[in-house]
Amino acid sequence: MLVVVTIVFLVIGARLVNLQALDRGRYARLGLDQRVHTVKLAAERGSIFDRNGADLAISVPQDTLWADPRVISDPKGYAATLAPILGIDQTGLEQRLSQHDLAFVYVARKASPDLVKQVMALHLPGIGTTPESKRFYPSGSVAASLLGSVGTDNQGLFGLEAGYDGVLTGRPGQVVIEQDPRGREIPSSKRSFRPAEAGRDLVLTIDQSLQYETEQILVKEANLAQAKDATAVIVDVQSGDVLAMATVDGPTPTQPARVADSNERNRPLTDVFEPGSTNKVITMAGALQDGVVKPDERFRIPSEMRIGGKQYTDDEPHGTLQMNLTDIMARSSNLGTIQVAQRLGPERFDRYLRAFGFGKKTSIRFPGQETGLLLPLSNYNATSMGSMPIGQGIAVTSLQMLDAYLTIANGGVSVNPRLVAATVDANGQRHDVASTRGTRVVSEQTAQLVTQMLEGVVARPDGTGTAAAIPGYAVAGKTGTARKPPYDQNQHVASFVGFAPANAPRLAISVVIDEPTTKIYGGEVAAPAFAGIMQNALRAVGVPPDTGVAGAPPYFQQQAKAWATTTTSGPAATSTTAPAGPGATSTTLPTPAAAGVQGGASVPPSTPSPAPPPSTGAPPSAAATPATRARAAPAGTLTGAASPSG
Amino acid sequence: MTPPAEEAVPARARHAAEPARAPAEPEGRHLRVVDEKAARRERQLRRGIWLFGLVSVVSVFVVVAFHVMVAQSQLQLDRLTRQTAVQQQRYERLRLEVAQLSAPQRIAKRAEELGMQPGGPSTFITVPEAGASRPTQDPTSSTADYQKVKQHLGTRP
Repeated sequence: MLVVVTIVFLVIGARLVNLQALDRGRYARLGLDQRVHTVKLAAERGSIFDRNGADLAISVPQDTLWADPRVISDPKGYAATLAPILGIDQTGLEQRLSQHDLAFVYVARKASPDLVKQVMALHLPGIGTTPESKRFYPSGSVAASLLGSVGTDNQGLFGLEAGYDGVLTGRPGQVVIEQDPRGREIPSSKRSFRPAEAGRDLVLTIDQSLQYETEQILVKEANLAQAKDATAVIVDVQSGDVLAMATVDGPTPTQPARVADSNERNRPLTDVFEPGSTNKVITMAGALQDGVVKPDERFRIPSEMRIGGKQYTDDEPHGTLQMNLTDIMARSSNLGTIQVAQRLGPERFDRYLRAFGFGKKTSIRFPGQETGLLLPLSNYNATSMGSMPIGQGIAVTSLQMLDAYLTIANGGVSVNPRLVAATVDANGQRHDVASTRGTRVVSEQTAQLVTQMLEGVVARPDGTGTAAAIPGYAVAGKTGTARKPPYDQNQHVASFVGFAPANAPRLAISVVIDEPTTKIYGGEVAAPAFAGIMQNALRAVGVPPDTGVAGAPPYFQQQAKAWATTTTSGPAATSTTAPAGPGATSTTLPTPAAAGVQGGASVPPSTPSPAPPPSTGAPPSAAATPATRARAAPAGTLTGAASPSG
Repeated sequence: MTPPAEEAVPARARHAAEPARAPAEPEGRHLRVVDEKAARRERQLRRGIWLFGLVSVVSVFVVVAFHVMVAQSQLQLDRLTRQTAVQQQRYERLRLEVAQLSAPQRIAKRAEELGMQPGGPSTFITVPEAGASRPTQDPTSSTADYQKVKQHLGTRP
């Protein structure tokens, strides 16, 4: 008996020695592992706001349902109960719940609170919840392709969500705690805590309401034109803020046109197209800037030209005409533009294309942004100087082309558009993203001359962009219609790019309609959409009607002047107050006789002459029509203006 | 071996020779001089032991109570943390709801349901300059007009 007791005590003693002395460290570690837990704290993804603070993308905590298959004895019954509630595949759920070697499987990630409530009310053993963050876009499809989307684990996949993923994603934190077997924290135990650092919020320059209106107008236009897709961009000329950037999918046999989804390309930045006649503005600006043509110089426009073995014609057949630069632009003459480009020469033409921003990404940071297709000068062939000046043989993004017009609208100084106005850190501190200064591309005088030509495109009765006219405002812009490669099919890209008010530019807009079928010309398809979008945008931004434009009451004329001198800044402001600036247009109008000579001489006898200008020598007033004013203004100002510096 | 006779006899003789002693008194009634200092020390020691015991018991209770309070506070902290998380979650959901309700798409749809239609393009009107008011040719015409128009309202001037 004594021996047995002795042996038992010896065994117990040996075990104690083993536990307390020999294997002490191992058991201490095991104990720690059992009660010390490290909990990862997910960093909240930053929100995305529009320029007025409206939520465009926010993260909201949602419960994820999980299961511990080890304690689930009836996976089939569980699956049959849960699948109908959650609306998920029953077989797949049963398979997951049957993995008895696992302690954790997902049942439904980020389920809605109502569903979670229903499931938890069943009190099923082995089913639990854990909070996760889910991304929501409260405005639905508004700016969807611009904002992009995130994956299940909140990583940016498309659009700004991907482009600014590093900014929006914060730094995860962690807390180390000691817990009892029931998961409660042990009081006075060791604890370490590193808080999660929330991601920064993005404040965009986009105006949500304007974006919505723009998209609705584009949807309507895409349906009317039965187009493949359509895009539009609105930029504030003074600040470079992108106020709206819309992408619309055209109608299909099964559904009407609709705003592009979040997983689609944001086409104004990611898709390139051959611009067609909108590119003529660069040819003209370069030629005027370098002094290779005079503003009032007339060109003999034949019915066709042959360059490098390729035949070029204007869109509408005509005999030999006499046209000045304004006529060439207003009627979008290919042959006139080619002659101007030939004077400019390939080297200078290439330099201006690049100076206006072609061949490189815009100032906007966006994933998948295209640089466009621009031939190196060394690769120019015999037809390059026939095709490229009229916008064929090169490819640009919608925003690149708008950049070129922004430069003209801004008095010859480039504008660097921006999409993100500021970021807001986790402490609520706002960090503004400064606009970068542009560089001078052409002189202010050249920009004014080109602006007046662009006004003629819209305001002249024979202009190609009359559908872009807006009552009460002077609009400057250019139509574009380009055939799409491989050119053997009847597919076109119709566009209109312009700005308003022409005498104190505030907004610039580009509209591109891809593969319209009912009508194909930019002046017929894109210009009306431009007018609708611009009219809405001018009203939203609070731009009063122009001075001297039909429909503008005297009160608004005074307001416009006051607004132009008090709120504008930078080169645009200079241009509005300078004696020779666009603001002085109304005081430098030609005499009716001069305007009449201009109008009559440029049109061959066989072509119906436009209506004569008003027979008074007074500046245009509210009673003058846009057409008469525009016909007179460019010609007269061109005559009176000094030649651009070269 | 037998002890010598001389030794046994003297022993008995000595016993007989001793005078008779008084009967022995009980020890408790034995009077002695009390050592006051020692008694005081003893009392102090006894009191000290009692006090130590009391302090020990109270200390244990205090420590236990403190731990209970800490545990309760921890539980309360856990509850508050959970409550904060719940309220934060509620705030985020309400924020989402507000954003969804104020989305342009939803407003346009609701307006359409209420019978509203998109506004047409802006129309600018010229307000003529204010001129002097012209007196009416017939002084009674205002009354006549009034009677003509306002009679439908059922009132009289």
